[in-house]
Amino acid sequence: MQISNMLGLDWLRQNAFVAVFGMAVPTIIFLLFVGYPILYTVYLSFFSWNGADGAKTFIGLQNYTDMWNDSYVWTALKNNFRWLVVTLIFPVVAGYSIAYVLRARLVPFPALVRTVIFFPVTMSLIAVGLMFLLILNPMFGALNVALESLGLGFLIREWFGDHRIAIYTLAFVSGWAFTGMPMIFYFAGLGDVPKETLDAARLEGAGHFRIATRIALPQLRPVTAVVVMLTIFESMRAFDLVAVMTKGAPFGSTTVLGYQVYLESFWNSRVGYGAAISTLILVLSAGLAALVLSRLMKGAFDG
Amino acid sequence: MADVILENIEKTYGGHTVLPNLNLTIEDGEFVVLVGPSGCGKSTTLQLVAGLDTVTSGRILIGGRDVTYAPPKDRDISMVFQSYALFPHMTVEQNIAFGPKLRGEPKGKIAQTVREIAAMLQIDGYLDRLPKALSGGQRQRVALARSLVRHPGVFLMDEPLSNLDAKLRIEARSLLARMHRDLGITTIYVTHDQSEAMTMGARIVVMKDGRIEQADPPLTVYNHPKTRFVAGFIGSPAMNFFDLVATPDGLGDDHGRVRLDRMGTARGKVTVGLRPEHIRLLDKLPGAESRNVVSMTVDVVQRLGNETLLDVVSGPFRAIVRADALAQAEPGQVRQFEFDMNAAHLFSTDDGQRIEAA
Amino acid sequence: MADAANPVTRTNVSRPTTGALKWVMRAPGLFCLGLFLILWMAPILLVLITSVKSNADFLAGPFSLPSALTFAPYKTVWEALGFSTLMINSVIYATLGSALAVILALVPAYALARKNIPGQKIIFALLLTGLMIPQQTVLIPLYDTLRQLSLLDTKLGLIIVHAAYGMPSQVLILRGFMTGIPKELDKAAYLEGASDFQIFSKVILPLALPGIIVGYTLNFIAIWKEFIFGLVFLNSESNFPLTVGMLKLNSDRYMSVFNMPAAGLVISQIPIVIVFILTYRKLSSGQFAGAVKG
Repeated sequence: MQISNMLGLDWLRQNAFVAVFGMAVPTIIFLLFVGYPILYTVYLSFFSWNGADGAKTFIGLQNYTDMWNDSYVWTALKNNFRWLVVTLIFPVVAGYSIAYVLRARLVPFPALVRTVIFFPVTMSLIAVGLMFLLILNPMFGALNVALESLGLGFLIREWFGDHRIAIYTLAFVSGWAFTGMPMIFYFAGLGDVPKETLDAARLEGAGHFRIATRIALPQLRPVTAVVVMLTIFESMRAFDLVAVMTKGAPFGSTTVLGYQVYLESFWNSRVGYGAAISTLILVLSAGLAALVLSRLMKGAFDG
Repeated sequence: MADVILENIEKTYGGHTVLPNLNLTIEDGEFVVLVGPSGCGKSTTLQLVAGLDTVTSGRILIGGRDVTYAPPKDRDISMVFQSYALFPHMTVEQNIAFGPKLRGEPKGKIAQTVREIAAMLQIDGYLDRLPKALSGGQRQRVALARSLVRHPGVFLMDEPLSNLDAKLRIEARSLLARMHRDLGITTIYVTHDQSEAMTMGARIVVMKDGRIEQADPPLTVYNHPKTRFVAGFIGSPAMNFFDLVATPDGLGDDHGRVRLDRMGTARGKVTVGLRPEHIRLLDKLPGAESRNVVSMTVDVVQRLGNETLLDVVSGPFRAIVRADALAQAEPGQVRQFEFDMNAAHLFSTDDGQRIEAA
Repeated sequence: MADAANPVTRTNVSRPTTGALKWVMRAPGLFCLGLFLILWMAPILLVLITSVKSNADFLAGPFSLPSALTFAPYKTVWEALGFSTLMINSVIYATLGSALAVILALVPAYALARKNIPGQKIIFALLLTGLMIPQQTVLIPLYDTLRQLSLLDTKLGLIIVHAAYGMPSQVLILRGFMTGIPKELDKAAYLEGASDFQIFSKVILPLALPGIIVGYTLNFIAIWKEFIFGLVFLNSESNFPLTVGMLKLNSDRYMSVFNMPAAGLVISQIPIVIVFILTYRKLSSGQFAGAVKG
């Protein structure tokens, strides 16, 4: 029901102070610190600038054509997608499975499990990076040492040194830290799924796997939409782990778009070019998110 | 105490007209029930009187004052919601005291009023509990207390009993009836339950599609329904209807299943209405001179302990008949039923309006 | 709201549901879960163990238990990197930044939850944009803006930036909680004569408190973890948060002996663990559902 009085002048008069400050201040801060920088970045992408006192020269789409021809950018782009795939498979599936298993009370010590899995989400990526640098160290790291002593020496790799797998190592580490997020979201979402639908399936003799995938998951579309979007954003934004762990090595095989932005803007003094790459990240994120939203959800934002 | 006058009220949402033209006068101290199926406009009407919504056109007067555009707090009204709308984070006492505190009444006076009203509704033992620690019936009384504390001129209630189970509902009905008797506050009560309407109101207003079909005391509505809709809506089990043809010889159908005395001077297609208690199961075969007797097959027998309900059928005609607790009847039997034409109602088959039989 | 004690389904009667046999039957599932647990717990445990080893122990291998517990690595790292200042700074940024984000988000969240604002979908899209920007994207313009406002290398500047970027998710979370509050409560209060602001302060705010706590905690953690803004917008060591200070650990000097980076890691996580313990119950209940539905 509309409380139509409340939108009238009456309300404005009574609440001018709150209305102005309460809405205006956040809006101003948002526009100034979030909106404007984004727009300015896109604007910058059409210029050449060294970031300091050099002139800003308008060069049209030159930066974008340069990107097209830049092999590092292509490697980075492919790496972002590899990152996305790994993050969609590993943390999301693991997160959902754990959430389901917790809700179905299939394990002892649920609180412990939840805490352990969620804890890495709270760790800064520096900490995560350092941690895995220690563990995945080729010579002294716990993983390779363990594999050797278990007789699985053939599985040993240079986790960061081998250019074929380094990016997957990074994506996996990122997934490790991220899993708690989908888990929490799905855990909450499962609590809202009507118990009756699951009971009915149980009565028909369905096993847990079938219930989890065919009955519960379809009812969790809004949650999945949110989770997938977050995953997309995280993958497209990936930067911290690369900066801490590999810095793009070996041979630039682990660079990602975000890292390229950093390199080009701060090390090569090609700020305009960096801005163009940033714009690409934005467009990719927005495009993928829109795709996901339109396919997974109708009316996501109603009510 | 105040009377309520609704004058030419129109309410439209977007393109949809919920109330085309509503006129209703409620006397000071009267207990009026708005009843009707979902979507009939009864809740909308209540919202308009409360001031939670504004009319598209028309006037609302409360206690002689034009309050059409006044905010709720200036209308001298109080409202009890279907879900009670108790503030979950406040104690019972804080809930009741919410309004007076807002209006700046002195603390001592508030505390005293709260205690008095709580005592009257027998919830004074729960004053420092939170709503979630109360039962449904207790919550309802808190909601009542909160609305009483402002000594309103008009009480508005939006299906306040639908969240209670059957037993509590009956107790609550008595509580409300007693309250009205003791305090005499003008009350507008909305419900979809016709039996609730019958037992509670001094006057029932039956609504359909935004229009008032009839506004009369309960027994009048029961015994002299103005339209076929009202006749079928009020009373449980519902009135039985028979679409027949009226001729100078009487009322009947094409196949001779039904032959009844004529009613008044009506001619052509008519609908005859008879309540279940006005159709009598005959034990013995009627004599040749018996009139208004119809042969029907018993379909379902429901024994309630104090009476029996018979589902009967004959061709296109179905009916429910009230019979004795010990009536001898079995499904599949063909039995004779006497129609009490003195208690029969006549309606136009076209527009449902009542046709008075001379 | 969902509650952690709600089981998803009743167990099948034909399978053993009590006693030791129950766990035997579930062995395969438990095995998988065991693997998961190892995967997540092992690294953390390893780091903990490593952090209290002496330099000599390091050579004995990662899985060896320390011959003697020593907190020397902690002490060294703490002093060498100036952890006391770093810690205080991080606490300041996280508590104040998150608080500011929540305060800024309150009224917009209320407006989105209760009023029919024209262009709601656009606003949502804008908020989402705020969530998804990669931070490197806005570094240069933001740097410039801060410079013009003389906020570079100031604690206040970083706090405002964190608040600005935390605000969109706060609005979404708070709005989700607020829409869960029945509108009839608004009406009841309005009936009693409450003004819009009074409805907001006396009805909505108290009932949205769980949401505020959840939002604040999430934001706190996010700011604590953050390091790019700290790295780029600050110059003086006296202003650095933990994450930036810890970068120094990734050098040969420290990485050659694992115990020191490990110790540094652990120290940086202690405050978060405390926050976690304090708010755990609120976070783990179904309160998230309210946020997700938004």
